[in-house]
Amino acid sequence: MPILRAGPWGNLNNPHVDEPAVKDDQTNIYPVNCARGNWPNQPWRLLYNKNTDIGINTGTAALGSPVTADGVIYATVNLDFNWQATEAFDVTLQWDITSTSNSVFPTLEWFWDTIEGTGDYYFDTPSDSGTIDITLPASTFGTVRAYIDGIDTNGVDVQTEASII
Amino acid sequence: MALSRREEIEWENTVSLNKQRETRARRSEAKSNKDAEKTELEYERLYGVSSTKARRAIKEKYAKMAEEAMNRVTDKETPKPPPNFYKAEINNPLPESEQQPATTFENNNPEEVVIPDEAETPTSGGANDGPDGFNTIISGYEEERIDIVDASNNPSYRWFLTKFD
Repeated sequence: MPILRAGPWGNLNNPHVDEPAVKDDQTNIYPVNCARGNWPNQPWRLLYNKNTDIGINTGTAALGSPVTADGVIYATVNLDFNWQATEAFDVTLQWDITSTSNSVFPTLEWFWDTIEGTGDYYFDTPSDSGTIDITLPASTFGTVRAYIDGIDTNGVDVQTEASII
Repeated sequence: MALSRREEIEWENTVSLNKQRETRARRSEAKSNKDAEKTELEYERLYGVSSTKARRAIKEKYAKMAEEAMNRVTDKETPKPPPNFYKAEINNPLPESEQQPATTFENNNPEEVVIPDEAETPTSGGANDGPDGFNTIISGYEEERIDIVDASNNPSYRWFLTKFD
C-alpha cells in the first residue's frame, strides 16, 4: 500500500520540516529519502558530520558518495538520514580507516528507529576497513544514524572514510 | 390510391413526430447510461478501486449498452411513405407559404457513433480533469498532486481531492 511522502527534512518528532538553509546536525533534522530512490525534486542524500581533533565539518552526501575526515588523533564520520519505504530494503555501511603509523583503533555504531516504534542497534570494534549491511524495514518514517570512528594510537595522523552504498 | 394533400401533410407530420419521440427517448437513455457510468466510476474511485482494468471494464459495459440501444433504434422498421407520396409532392409542390422546415437530422448509423475510448482519455492534465481523465471533481473540493512511495519502494504521486474546512 502506498504511503504519503514526508519531509523533505525532519525527524521522528517532526516528519515534515522544510530543508534548512544551514545543513548542520545541531538542528537535529535530516533528509527524508524514498528507500534507495530519488524524489523528483530531491535526490537521495544524507547529512554527514566530520568530527576530528582539527575541526568539525557538516554537509550532505549522495548514496554511494564517500565522506572523508582527516585528524591527528581521531577522525569520526557521522552519517544520518531518514527513510520511507513500503517494503524492507538494504543499505550498506562502508568504511576505511588509515594512518601512516599503521596503528588505528576503529569503532563502529549504527542504530535505526521507526515512527511505528521498532528499532535496531549495532556496535562493533571492526577491522580497519569493511562493509556491513543494514536492513531497514517498511516504515512511514524511519531514521538511521551511523558513525565510524578512527583513533591513531600513536597520535600521528588518521583518516576515516565512510559512505552509505 | 393517392392521398389528398392534407392527408399527405398529416402523415408527414405524424412520421416527423414519431421520429422526434424516438430521438428524445434515445437521448434520454444515452444520458441515463452516461450518468450511471460516471456514478459507478466515481464510486469505484472513491472507495479505492481505481485500477485501469476496473475502469476499462466499467466503460466497456456502458459502451456495450450504448451500442445495443443504438441497434434497437436502427433495427426498427421505418414506416414507408404511402405509394406515390414523393412523386405526388414533386408533381404538386406545396405553395411556398405552406412549406415547413425539414425535421432535425439524426444520425442513426451505429458505425458513425463515437463512443469514448480508454485510449482517447487523458490520464492527467487539465485543471478540471480528474486523475482518471474524467471531470469528476466534487463540488467544494480541488485536486492536489501529492508525492507518495509506491508499493515497490519507488517515488511516485497520486491525485487527491482536498477541501478546506
